[in-house]
Amino acid sequence: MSSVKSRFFRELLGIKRIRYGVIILISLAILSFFVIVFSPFEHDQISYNVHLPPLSRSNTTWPYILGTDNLGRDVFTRTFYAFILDVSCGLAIITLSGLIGLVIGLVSGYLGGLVDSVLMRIMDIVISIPGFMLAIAIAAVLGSSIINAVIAVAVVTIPVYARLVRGMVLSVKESLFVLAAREAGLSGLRIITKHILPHITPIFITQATMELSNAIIYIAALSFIGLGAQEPTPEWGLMISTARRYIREAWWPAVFPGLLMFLTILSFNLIGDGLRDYLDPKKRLSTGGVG
Amino acid sequence: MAKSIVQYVFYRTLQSLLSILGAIIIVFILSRVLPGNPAVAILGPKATPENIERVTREWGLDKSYPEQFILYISRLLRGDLGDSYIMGYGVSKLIAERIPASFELIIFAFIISLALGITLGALAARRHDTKLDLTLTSLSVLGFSFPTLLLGVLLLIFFGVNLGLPVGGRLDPRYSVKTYTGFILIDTLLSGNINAFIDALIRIIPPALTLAIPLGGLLLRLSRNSILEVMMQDFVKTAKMKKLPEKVVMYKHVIRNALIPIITIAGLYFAVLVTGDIIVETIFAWPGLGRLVWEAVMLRDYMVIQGSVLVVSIIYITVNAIVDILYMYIDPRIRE
Repeated sequence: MSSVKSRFFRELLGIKRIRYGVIILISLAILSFFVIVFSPFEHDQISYNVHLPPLSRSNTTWPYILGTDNLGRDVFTRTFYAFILDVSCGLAIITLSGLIGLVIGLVSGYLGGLVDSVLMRIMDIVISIPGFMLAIAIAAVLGSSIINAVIAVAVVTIPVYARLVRGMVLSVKESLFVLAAREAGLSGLRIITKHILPHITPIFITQATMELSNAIIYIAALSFIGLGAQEPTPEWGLMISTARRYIREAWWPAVFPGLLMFLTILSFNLIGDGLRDYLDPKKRLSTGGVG
Repeated sequence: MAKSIVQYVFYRTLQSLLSILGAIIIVFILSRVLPGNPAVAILGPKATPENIERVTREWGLDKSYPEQFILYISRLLRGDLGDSYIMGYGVSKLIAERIPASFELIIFAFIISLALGITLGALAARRHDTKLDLTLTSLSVLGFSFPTLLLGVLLLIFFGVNLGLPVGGRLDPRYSVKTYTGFILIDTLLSGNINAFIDALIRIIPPALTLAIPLGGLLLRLSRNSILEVMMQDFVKTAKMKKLPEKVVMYKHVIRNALIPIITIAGLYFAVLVTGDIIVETIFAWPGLGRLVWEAVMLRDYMVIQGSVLVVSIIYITVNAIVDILYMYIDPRIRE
């Protein structure tokens, strides 16, 4: 079993885009681990060294690699702390909305009828409102905090999964192996978990990976307009929002968080793209599964 | 043909109206589940006992939810989004004042991205599988995976700090221009003030580019693929065999057919621009609807947030419906 699994992972890493995505992500993760453990600066440590340019030395042993911000905090340390925070928020969002969307999609697709119509109409309404606007409305009701922002974004993205899962359930529901399981007298729950779910999982995970970068963009955007993380939390959107006010004095506190955000989003997109191609049998035939 | 065009328009309109009703219901529910007394949330720091009583009466907050909803809808139908006690104006008035600025920015950005995307996409398609094609397609991928936040900041630094051009706002306050259309580029021209026009043009370019580059990148890839697909079709091959000049083949046969999917997808993204607009307006202090949302968040003015969400949603749903109907009108194949 494990050899099948390891071959599967080797095959996935053989796809160029997935490999690059994973390499970038792992490097960023390792770097942020080192920053958290070894950096001589705390992420919220204020100093007199305001707006020092990148690589300038103070009386500290370590230079300020990416300079300091308007409160003399080390931009390098903050940017990598923010990597951990933003990626965790993204993961929390896709877990939350993915699970709820999965349940709604499974129930809706498997039961059909009135339950299906009602649930899907609700999903239609949610999806017809621009996601970011709805997230703003929800976050504003809940109050400005990073956790509330996560909840708001999660709610907004539920329909993506619910619709996807429902569609897949509908296409699998009438297939022979599900009919056979039903004839054999298996319970609905067992059919869903043992027979339908495994069919859905790969596409579901691909979608979740693609949504991860959207989730991060939303979180940063909400924090940027003041509805997410609050000072002194190291968060990309908030850091850019603060640094924007001093852009004429110092560009680095705004640019580096943005760059790291870009790299992170790019690597999740690469992985998601690669997974999608891998799962798409038409594309797999043409490229032999190795892009 | 299953449905006539009139039927299609009817159903699509009905569907949009239902979506708008859904949006209204969601915004209504959100405004009533606010923690604590909704009247206090509406009033913000101005919540004196007299004000609370007034707002409670005004919105029927002491009545049942269905009654409150009917009151809410009947006010909306009269175009009344309530009053902002924090900014001191009617919310509808605040929003109406800001809409022209946002529309001007979005339309300007849309034109830039269409022009860039289609021209470069056509170029990439004509030189497909060359180095130029590879460069252009790579640039397009880079363009649309750039987060708006980073792009906006980079352009702000480039135009404002490196080039030293005026950025922020729509027009230098020392120019006063009479309002004819609400579109500052047109108003400055109409009043014959060339200096003001140049100032306005310089100021609109960085925020418009921030919105246009990601969309332009997407349109580039889309146009390239769409044009390539048409170029491979039989009628184009026939035209080439007839030894028609390449330009005639390209413009009369290829681009015209390739434009259908490009225009529709561009139309759908027009609605997406409306959302990205909030970030861009905040970065460049552009006094439009997006900036209003940001100001409302800063002041904790829930009435304005709620009103803006509703207005933007209605615009979004309407534009989507119009694009769908246009698409159906252009391409009869979907009618079936």
